[in-house]
Amino acid sequence: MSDERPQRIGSKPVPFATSVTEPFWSACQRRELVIPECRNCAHRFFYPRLLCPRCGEDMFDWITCSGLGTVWSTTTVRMSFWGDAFADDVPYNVSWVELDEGIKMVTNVIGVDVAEVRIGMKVRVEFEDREEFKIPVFRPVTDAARTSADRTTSMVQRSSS
Amino acid sequence: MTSPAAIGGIYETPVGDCGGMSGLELQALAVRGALRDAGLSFSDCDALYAQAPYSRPHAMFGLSLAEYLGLHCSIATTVDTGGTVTPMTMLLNAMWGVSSGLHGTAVCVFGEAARTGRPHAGKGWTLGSESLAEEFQQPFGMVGFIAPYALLAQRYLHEYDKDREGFCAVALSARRHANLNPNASMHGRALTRDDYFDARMICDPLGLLDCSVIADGAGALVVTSWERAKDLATKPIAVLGTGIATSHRSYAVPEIDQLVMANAALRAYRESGLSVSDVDAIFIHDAFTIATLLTIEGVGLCSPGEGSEYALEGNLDLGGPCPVNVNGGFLSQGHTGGILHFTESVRQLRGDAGARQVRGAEVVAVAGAGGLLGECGMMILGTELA
Repeated sequence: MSDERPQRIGSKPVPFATSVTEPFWSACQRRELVIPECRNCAHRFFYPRLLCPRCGEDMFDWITCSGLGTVWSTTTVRMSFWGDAFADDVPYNVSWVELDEGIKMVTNVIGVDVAEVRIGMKVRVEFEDREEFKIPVFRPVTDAARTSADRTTSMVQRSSS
Repeated sequence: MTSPAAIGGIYETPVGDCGGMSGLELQALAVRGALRDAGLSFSDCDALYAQAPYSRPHAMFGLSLAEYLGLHCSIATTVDTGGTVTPMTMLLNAMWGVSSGLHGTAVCVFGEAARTGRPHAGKGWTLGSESLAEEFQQPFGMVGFIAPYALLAQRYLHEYDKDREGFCAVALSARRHANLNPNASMHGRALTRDDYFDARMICDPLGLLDCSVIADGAGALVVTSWERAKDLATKPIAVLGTGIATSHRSYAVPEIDQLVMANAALRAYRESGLSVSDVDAIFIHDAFTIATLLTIEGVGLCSPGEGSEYALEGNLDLGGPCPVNVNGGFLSQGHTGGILHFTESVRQLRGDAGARQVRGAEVVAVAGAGGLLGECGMMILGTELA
């Protein structure tokens, strides 16, 4: 019976930022991946939030990440749970990627067959257009490409919150 | 507590397809049923602890349900701890309320109409209310509960170098138990190992039969003073110990060995003075098969990483050392949030559970979690006051 009624969810979800989280998405527009680092205790955390979850300090720097990381866990999603919004994407990958900077984020590994994504795989960020946003997704990298990327991003860049 | 409390009456509505009734309507039936089971009526109910159905968000739900039932209470409130820890919290609050004199007899209730009574046809468990940090999850198609549980399951298999055989053993045991429970969604439907491995994959490594059954259904429990409970129509049941621990709400999970079920269990054992070997039967929040493995490991039925072997050896079944989810669990009775793990625990302690009765059950535990095992709880129930 209720199966005949449409779910009240239309297009794919886009980020709904707050004034605290907005710099993350602004950085994505510049094709930069940034995460907060507490100015008091140097704890890096993700998702971005007002207070450091280790010491409670409300001042943090946005540090620019190398964009390199490792797949911590991964799944292939085979049905659309958001109305039909993801129907054209299934099967699609969802992963937790652990950045070289030490935090884990939810993302998609792209550019490779879903069956090929493995825990431990080295990946690098790129940015996918979604309406007016850019969404950080990850693509597998070879060891050679990774070494080269490591050299060019060895210094962590900082900007104030 | 100076004036101890007890669980009196219980009630369980039909589970499965309730023909389009709402969660509120099902909960109303459950409240009446639990009071009648105890030989009480609406006028005896002085407190209501309820949770709004996730499938149909509802503000001030406890108050709504009290009005719907025509109750005038000393408190009517909504509890939303998460998963099976929600009814556990309701029972704690009701016991404190009774013991402190805040209120008289209370009813704790939860029910869902997720199968036929929800307002949209969303697949799986897309919640109507906001969850934490969705901004950093939903755009990636990390929606509902199956994908995050699948990520946890994949990590588990990786860490302990296991395959899906352990998950299969959990699913098959739950189904065998459901076939002993006439009020299970999957009663009368046998399940084989081939069925399990032939079922379609939903989010690897979780297939269809790793996922709990979306169901309609409600349950309720009466909480009153131990003294009053002794005069009721039903045998009084005591809470011997409870432990709860939190770690996360969003999908930012810790490492597998940092999940907090073990912390919750330790606290429950400490308060009760009991150990895992004293538990005659256990009810687990098996929203997915992986949750059963993580929970039996967390409460100490086996060591971390050994859940698969433990399940494959048949230890989960009725007749085993500590049968798990003899009501069929969420996997085969139906997912109604964990309230039915408490009604079934009481039934087992009354010795009233028919074909699925655990012989001689005197200590029964509920070990449940909310979210992605982010808030874990264990409550130990018995037939005598501690």
